[in-house]
Amino acid sequence: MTLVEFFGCTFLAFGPPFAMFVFTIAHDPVRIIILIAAAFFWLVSLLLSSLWWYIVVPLRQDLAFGVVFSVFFQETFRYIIYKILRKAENGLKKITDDSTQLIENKHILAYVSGLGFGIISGAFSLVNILADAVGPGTMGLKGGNEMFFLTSAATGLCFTLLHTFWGVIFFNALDNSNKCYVGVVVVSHLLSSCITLLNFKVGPAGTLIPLYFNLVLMGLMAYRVAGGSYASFKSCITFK
Amino acid sequence: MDFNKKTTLFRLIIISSVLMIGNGIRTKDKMYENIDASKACFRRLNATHQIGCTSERGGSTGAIHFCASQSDLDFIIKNGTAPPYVPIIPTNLFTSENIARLKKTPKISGLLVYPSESPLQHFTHEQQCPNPASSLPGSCKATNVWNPHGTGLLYHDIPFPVFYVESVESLTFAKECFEKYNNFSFGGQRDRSLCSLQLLSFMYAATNSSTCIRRSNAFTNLNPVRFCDPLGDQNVWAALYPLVKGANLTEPNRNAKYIIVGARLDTTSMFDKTAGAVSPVTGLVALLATAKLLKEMTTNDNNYEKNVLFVIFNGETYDYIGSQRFVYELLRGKFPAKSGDYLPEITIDDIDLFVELSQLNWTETVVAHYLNKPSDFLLKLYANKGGLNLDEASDGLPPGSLHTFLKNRTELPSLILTDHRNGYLNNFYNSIYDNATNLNYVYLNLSKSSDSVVGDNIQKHIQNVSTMLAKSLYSEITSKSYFGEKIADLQFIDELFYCYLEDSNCRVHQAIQKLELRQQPLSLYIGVELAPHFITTLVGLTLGWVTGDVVGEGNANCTNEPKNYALRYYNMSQSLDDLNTTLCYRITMNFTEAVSPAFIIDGYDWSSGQYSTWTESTWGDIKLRIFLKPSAAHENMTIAIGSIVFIFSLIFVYFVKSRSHILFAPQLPTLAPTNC
Repeated sequence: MTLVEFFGCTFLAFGPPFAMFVFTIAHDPVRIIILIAAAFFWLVSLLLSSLWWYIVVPLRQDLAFGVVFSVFFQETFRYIIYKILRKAENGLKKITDDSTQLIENKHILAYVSGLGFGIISGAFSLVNILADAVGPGTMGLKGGNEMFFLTSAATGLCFTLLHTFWGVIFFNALDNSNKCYVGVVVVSHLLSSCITLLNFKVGPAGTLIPLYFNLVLMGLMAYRVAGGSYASFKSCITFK
Repeated sequence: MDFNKKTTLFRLIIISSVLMIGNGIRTKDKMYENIDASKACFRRLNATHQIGCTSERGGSTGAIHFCASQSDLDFIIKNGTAPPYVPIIPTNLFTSENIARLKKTPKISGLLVYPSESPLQHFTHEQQCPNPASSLPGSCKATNVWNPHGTGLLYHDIPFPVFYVESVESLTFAKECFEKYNNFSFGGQRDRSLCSLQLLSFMYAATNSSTCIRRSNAFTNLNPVRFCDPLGDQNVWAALYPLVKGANLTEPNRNAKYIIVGARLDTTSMFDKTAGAVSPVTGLVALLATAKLLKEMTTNDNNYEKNVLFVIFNGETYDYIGSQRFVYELLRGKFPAKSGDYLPEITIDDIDLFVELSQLNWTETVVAHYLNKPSDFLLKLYANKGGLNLDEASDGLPPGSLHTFLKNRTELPSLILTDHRNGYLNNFYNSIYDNATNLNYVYLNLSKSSDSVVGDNIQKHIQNVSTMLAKSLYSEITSKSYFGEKIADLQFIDELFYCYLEDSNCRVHQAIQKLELRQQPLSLYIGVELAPHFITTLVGLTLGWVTGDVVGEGNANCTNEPKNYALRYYNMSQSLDDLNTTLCYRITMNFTEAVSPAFIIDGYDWSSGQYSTWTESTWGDIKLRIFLKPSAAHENMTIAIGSIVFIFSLIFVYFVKSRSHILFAPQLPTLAPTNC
């Protein structure tokens, strides 16, 4: 009965995004629409990546090729959705209830679209694995080990959160014409994706540690960018 | 490491649907190893019982325990700490004692059986008195049972799935997996992942035939489900002389008397694989050889007083399905079909003599069993026995189609020719081991010119029996002795054994039809009436070929000859040595239904026990797969990590959200562009 494993991995991979959705998105219809729109744009980038992969026949067997181009496609679409959202701001003002908050604090749109990217990418990377986890067996019969499902779920969660943070940093960087931060996002995305290619050699722990290190780094960066500081953190936890 | 490859692959699903188009590998393929599951034990039902095996809906699972000996099996039943288990046992441990123990213990969820390396003394799961309910009462005495080694397991209701696995790769995989994960420190098996098996063979039918037929016919929704199908196929019959006469062969030849020469066509086994060398192939081959020789003897001789019907009954293993239906139609004037206007009606009283060919392994003596002594015919057999030893026995009739005939006409002169006087000499009756080895059959690959075969063998034995029988039948139908030189065709006999035991794509089957068949024997299990049965058609065409008349050269016009209910026309090869020259044959062979009358009588009383009521359950998937079952500790860890992360993230996000105005200082809208 690995229905147990199925639920464990589902909770791990989709629990935090679910919590974020419930407390920060669900109350505002406009945010939900933007979340879905972002997810749609991510899907379009997936479609283009796969078309590209399909066209370049000689490199189909090379995973690295697909990974690198997929990152570029995703970042391009992040840029496109940024442009669209900035253009749509005036329209959004008219339909949203708390227009001041949504439009004044530009990080909210960035966060919502980043989470949209993250949720859909997490879903697409894990759904197949989770579907297979429902049977009676676990990994390890023909190579691999039992931790496969758990580490896959952890990787999926990591990428969901990374996309959220990347969204915040990326939008802010474009707002401020800060090319440096745009570069940080792209490089970080490339690095994280390519680290997973090393799963062959260094094992699940070997890739999870740098991935989560990257996640913490990006998290802190996004926190800074969104206006957080050590002082605000201190005042937050001390309830002043 | 392969595992890591998979992680990478799935990370890459983010990129694209690469995997679906590319190579379509799924995580499942890494987790499960499908093994050969073609030989399952499945469920059958009769008017009162369900027999056979079934898995749970969705499959039964259990940890593998590979047993080489009885002690291994005893060990796991006694000391297994992480039930349920699936023992993998050799055939020599598949005994009624062991099955009874496995049924009793709750630790077992399934069973795999593999061919034992050491030769077995006996392996038969038929009852000690086959077909007890439909045979003549008193024909099987407790002191002298027909199948002394029979365990009767075939008729037990086994509550777990059982599979027979022959594939060496599958067995090796299972054994290696068992050695690697299971076969050490049995006390700690609960705390680690175990190599396990999933056995899927869920049977839809339950309880008994009447229940499942009623359920199948209940039109309670628009999409009726069949739960079981009646066992059934076709009987094959052919007449030595056409049943019609006259210039155009259109006038029924009424008031003739008939001799029936019968044999059976089917066998069964615990698993979905049959062998059937001694029973039924010996009797079947003897019948076909007799028919061929008798036809050769009488080709230019139309001076006959009696006709001979060669009938091959199907489904005799399951309470004489074929002969019951045959007699049912005889009694109602429905045999042959279309009788009346076009064909003569044959009734049970038109039968002068019934000769059944049962198991005829190569033994010293051929025994003629009878209840009503056919004295004249016995004398003829003695006169024509040649080098054979012929004996008679009248104390109890061995199981056979004759029982059905005698039940409906007690004084019918009749006999059954067998190789045994008391119990069966065949220790593998109705099992997978009743094969060419059991028969000591070796293919001789004769051609017509090289008829000199050194030494005695089963082929020669059948040749002698067929010659004796054909000569006796000749004098019975013509009232004169046979003085010719003809004897049964050894090459034909040898080829027939080869067809039925080793390679269905043999010369005889190439001679009678054009299909290329697979190079393995065909199943002799009767099956359900809906499924096609190659073997029946092939045996029918073979019988037609040897009893047919040549009417000209083989060409396209042959099959366009005027259609007639009594006769059919086929292009068939001239001889086994010359397959490419075809001739046009006019044959009298035909088929009749072999489905128990119980299923065609409206409102049949299921409890009457008058007719066979066997049905076979339907099923969905039949599958066997090996996988690694995670330990409880691992599962608990996974769910614990998942739940903790989930709950913690709920708290954390709520906290951040509620204090976001403090955490994130509002940004100044006039922030100047920064640089790196």
